[in-house]
Amino acid sequence: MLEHRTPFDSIREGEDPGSATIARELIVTPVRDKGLLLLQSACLQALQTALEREIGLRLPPAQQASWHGPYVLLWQTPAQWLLQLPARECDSIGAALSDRLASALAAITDFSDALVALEVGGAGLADVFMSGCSLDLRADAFPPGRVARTSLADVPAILWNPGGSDRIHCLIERGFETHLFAWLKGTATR
Amino acid sequence: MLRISCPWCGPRDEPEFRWGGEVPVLRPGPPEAVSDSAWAQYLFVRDNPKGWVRERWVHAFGCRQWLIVVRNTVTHEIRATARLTEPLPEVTP
Repeated sequence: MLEHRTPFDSIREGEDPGSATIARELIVTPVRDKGLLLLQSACLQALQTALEREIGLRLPPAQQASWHGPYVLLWQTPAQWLLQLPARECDSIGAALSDRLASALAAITDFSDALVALEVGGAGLADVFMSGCSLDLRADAFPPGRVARTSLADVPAILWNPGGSDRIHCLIERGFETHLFAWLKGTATR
Repeated sequence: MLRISCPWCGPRDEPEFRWGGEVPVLRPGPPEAVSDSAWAQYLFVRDNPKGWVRERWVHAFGCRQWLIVVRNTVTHEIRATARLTEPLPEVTP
């Protein structure tokens, strides 16, 4: 049987204190114990009501995030949002939202295994990211709460600023994890 | 490189988009009544003008929405972008 290990496994399994300092003070920390639900609906009012009653969150405007306690809602497209929540609540909240949206045209899909969430921080963060992404990610152009679906290192990525000028959360498809780690390491040390 | 203003995401670089062809290209019908030449015209023949043209693009790396772009095929200037649900922008100079 093949053993599949990704570059971030050593961090997850506790061999590292929790994060990896790559270079130039660029620190990568896997976001642990979080689940992801993809919410799709064109019935915004029904989705809004379901979210407010279940977790007290409002739908964010385009390119924005909203959060309340451990729940973060990221805008994806005009009819799609990504809900980040504690992993242990993924099934129960997903089922509760599905029940509330039973009569609306909506889909709730568990994306926890599809995407990898990383927090990248450090003084050289914007410079490193902007060498592989066409967006201006400096603090004044990418303020807290801003979300962007874009291309990072030639792969699709969701970037969002959780607050502060020196860290960005990055979600990528799990299959691109090795590529992203190699790209971050190569770019940061160049 | 083109800089395209997505109606949902704002200005983004061209590599985030994919080209989807000229608009409007109307499908003839019904199929049993369409001649071979009319079908070939629909499938293969485009105006391909020198100058302003309306095109369909998709923001593949972003919001994955289709949009209309008014682009000059000589200068690559982009005059307007619009959602598919909006009226087609004018192309006359």
